[in-house]
Amino acid sequence: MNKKWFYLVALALIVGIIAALGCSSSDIETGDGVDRRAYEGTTLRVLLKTGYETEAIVRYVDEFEKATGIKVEYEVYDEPTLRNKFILDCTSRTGTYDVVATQFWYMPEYLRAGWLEPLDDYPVDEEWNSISHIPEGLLETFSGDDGKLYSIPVSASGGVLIYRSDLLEKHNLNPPKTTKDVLEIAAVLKAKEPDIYPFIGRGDSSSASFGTSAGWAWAYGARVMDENLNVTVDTPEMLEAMTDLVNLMKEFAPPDQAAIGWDVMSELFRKGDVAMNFEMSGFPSVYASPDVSEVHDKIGVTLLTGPAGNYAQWMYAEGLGISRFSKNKDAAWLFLQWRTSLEVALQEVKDGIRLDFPDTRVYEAAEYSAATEGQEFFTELIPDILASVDPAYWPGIADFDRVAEAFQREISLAIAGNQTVKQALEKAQSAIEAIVNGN
Amino acid sequence: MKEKRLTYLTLIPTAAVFLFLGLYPVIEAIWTSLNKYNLTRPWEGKVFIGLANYIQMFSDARFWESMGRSMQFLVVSVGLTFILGFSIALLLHRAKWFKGFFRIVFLVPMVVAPAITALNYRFMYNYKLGILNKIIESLGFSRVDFLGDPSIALWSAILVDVWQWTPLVILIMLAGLEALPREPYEAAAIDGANRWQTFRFITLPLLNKFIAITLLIRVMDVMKVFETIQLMTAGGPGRSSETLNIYLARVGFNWFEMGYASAIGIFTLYFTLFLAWLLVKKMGAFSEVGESIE
Amino acid sequence: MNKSLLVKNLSEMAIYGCLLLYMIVAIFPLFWLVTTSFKPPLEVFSTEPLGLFVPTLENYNRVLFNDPFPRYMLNSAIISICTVLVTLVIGSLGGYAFARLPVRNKESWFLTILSTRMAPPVAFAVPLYLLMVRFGLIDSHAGIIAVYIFMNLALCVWLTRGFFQEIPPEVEEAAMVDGCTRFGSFVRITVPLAKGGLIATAVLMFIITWNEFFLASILTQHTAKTFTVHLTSFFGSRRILWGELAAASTLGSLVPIIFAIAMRRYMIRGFTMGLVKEK
Repeated sequence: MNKKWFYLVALALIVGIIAALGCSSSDIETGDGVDRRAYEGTTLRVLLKTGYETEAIVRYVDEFEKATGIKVEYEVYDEPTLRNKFILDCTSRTGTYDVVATQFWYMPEYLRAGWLEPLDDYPVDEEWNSISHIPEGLLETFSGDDGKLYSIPVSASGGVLIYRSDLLEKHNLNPPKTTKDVLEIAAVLKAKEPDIYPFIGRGDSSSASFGTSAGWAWAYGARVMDENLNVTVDTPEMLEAMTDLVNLMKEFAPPDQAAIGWDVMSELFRKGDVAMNFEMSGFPSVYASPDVSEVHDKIGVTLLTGPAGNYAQWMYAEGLGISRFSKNKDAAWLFLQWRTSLEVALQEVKDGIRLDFPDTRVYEAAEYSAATEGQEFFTELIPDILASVDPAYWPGIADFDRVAEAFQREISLAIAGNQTVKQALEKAQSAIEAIVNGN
Repeated sequence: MKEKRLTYLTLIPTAAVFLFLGLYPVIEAIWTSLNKYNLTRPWEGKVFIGLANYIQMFSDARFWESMGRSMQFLVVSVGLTFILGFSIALLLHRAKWFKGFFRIVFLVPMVVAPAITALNYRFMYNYKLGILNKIIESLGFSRVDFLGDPSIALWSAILVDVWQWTPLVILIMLAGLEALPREPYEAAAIDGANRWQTFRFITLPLLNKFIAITLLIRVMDVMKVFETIQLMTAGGPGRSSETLNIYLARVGFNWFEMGYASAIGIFTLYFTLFLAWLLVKKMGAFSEVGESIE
Repeated sequence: MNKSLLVKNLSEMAIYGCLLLYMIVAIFPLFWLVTTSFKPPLEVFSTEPLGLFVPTLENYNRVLFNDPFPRYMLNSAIISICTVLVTLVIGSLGGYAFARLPVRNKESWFLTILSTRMAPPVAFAVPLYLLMVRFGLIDSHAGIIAVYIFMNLALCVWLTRGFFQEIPPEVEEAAMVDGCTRFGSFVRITVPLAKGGLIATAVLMFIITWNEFFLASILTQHTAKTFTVHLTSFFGSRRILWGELAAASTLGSLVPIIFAIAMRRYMIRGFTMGLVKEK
């Protein structure tokens, strides 16, 4: 009897020691308690959107593969195609894609359909995980009604007015601080600089351009829907806001402004044909790039407020989420954390991929100030830009695309001169009401 | 007898492909068109609603508008490609030198992918920076807002389609012209017919089935035009270049209303079939298709 | 005599003038595409004629060496060639049957076959997608080839029927009298005689398949993606990479253009749709 017990205890001890030995691995391979190589040999399929958010993945993914032994196969598409592929994949419940880039405006749609995996209960990789350093408001944008997080934010932008500092200086103009300033400066420039368009924005009818109109409107306290989802398009505030914007675009923007989307807008500004551009804060860094911009050293950035005291908005945020149907969720979670880790962010800074990050620790890092020398005109403003973001103006509903298109289409036609602003708002009001009431 | 069976047997692979990959999606689409089915509302699944989608379609102003634009596109594009193509074919027929060279060169637009053509023209149509407007300006005219003027956008798209497919018309009509027999012309010359009479009463009738084939192919292809418009204007500005196919893509792949999209799709299919049938009947195209000129 | 000679010369000049004008119109967009592919980002919208700006190879460098584009070109090639070969076999069998069989209601058969060419792919994309999913054929070469076979079959049957009809049945009868089976005579006599037409059909189908965009974008992901789908990856989020796009487009267009020029005689034949007897 005694002998048996002795052997049993000895066995238990030995097993215990071996287990303990196995758990502690070298620093490189764990993130403090998380075994990064646990999913070695898995292949992750990642669905990404074209743009600077993807650049880091394309460049550094080898390091992730080395650290975890997980193979990453990514596909890059333009936004509509990305959304189509994700939706089709979810419809067939195949789970082909493990990780998907999530644009904030599609989050309500994805969440309503239950296609994303809640991230709260996954083990945190202490070294890589940056969620606790991301502003609450931004996290909320990617969370569901249940309060759980469904995507880790990768990028966030606010609304800014980008201007040609050389032109404003030449005519002794101060950078605009309000929407009315923009109109005044535009008038001055139109008289004095006949070869330059004083203003440009997104004027075409696509839902991608809705951000410009809706963001501008918030400076006037106007928005498409209020918090109770009543449609508030045909209001005096919106009328004033859109009258100013349409005026700006008709009088002071290129003649084909009603067809100009972000690509032509960007092209014209970089060619030096435009003085002011109201846009999201992702653009100043491309305007300031010598490889693609003829005016890279003549840029200024400022925030605008409007009659209601609000900041003019151009909210955009993108994150990475895990598909509900993925068969490699744990491995995918590791990837998400890696992508949004401080180490990757700092590498992006060093390689000049982008200047704006959701992780607030980035701005305090020595590498950041070193790499952004000469770009202070923008980087100094980033905290203010992110602070100015006010999600209240955005129609965060699942049918966003239809609502945005319905609104923007009417504004675009007003810019083209096919109808008055009042008519545009009336038509948009009834169209959006029809959509919201379940057409 | 055995031979007949053998020949029927050779049809089996063809029939199998048609049944499986052709009939099945169509039946599936017809069934879906009788349901309400939105991909972004998966919990609802498919809800049978009978003909409601079709009723909605026929009372949808946006449907009729896009249908109107499709018809406009059809008439103008087919008309222009035919007239232009036929004219070039006539000229080429009369030309003596470099015929082979021209033939190859004229082939090229047709051979480039519509997707590439659409993107290329989008680049060239740019109002301020595009090469086309720069050429127009240097000739002394004022810039044209190809893609931004709601009243012009559809025409810009039609122009691209015409550029791309005129070669097809040239090739078919040229083949027809070259196959024309001499005798009727000699007889007409003896009778003292003038150019126009010869053309109208001899050339045209003899070319009947070539014309029929050309029109048939063009009509079928125009109804399917998608990349050309989608990659250039996406139906904009506003909806001024939104043809039926583009509206269909919007309903199906922006809003993911699959039931409604299927209804529009089925309608388009049968409408095109109807147009083709009209063409075949009116021009007696079929009876001579596939048979050589006597 | 002199006057009519003058008129004749003038009208000849007019003809060549018009043809030249049309040629410029036809070729210019492609010329512009190619020159754009040699321009750096700052120059893409410049209008200096070729030679007055400094051409750069960075676009081609990026497209060929820093981008998965070559892989997708290869996919396009594999998919197009396989599609054409299989469709030709299946379709020519069908075309032959239609050529020799006594068919009632020719018109309705004709329209039925044609109807597959009339279906807007956009409407049938989702049923096709779900069908492919069910058989695990999404993003597989086999899957997209199968769909392309269907897409091309109608044309193949239609054209080959015309070509086979040109061959008098007596030739086949003669062979069969000598002991050939029907199928044997088809393979040994009919096919070689119709070779020109078959090649014409193959060329046409290759070009159609090579250039296809929409179905490929829906049914492929990364394994079987074709080059046309990849073109939209040159849309950045803050600027369109026109130079790289032009380079990729030029490369992608070279294949069908060179192919068409090499096969021009067959192509021209194909477009006559078998309407004209071989001289």
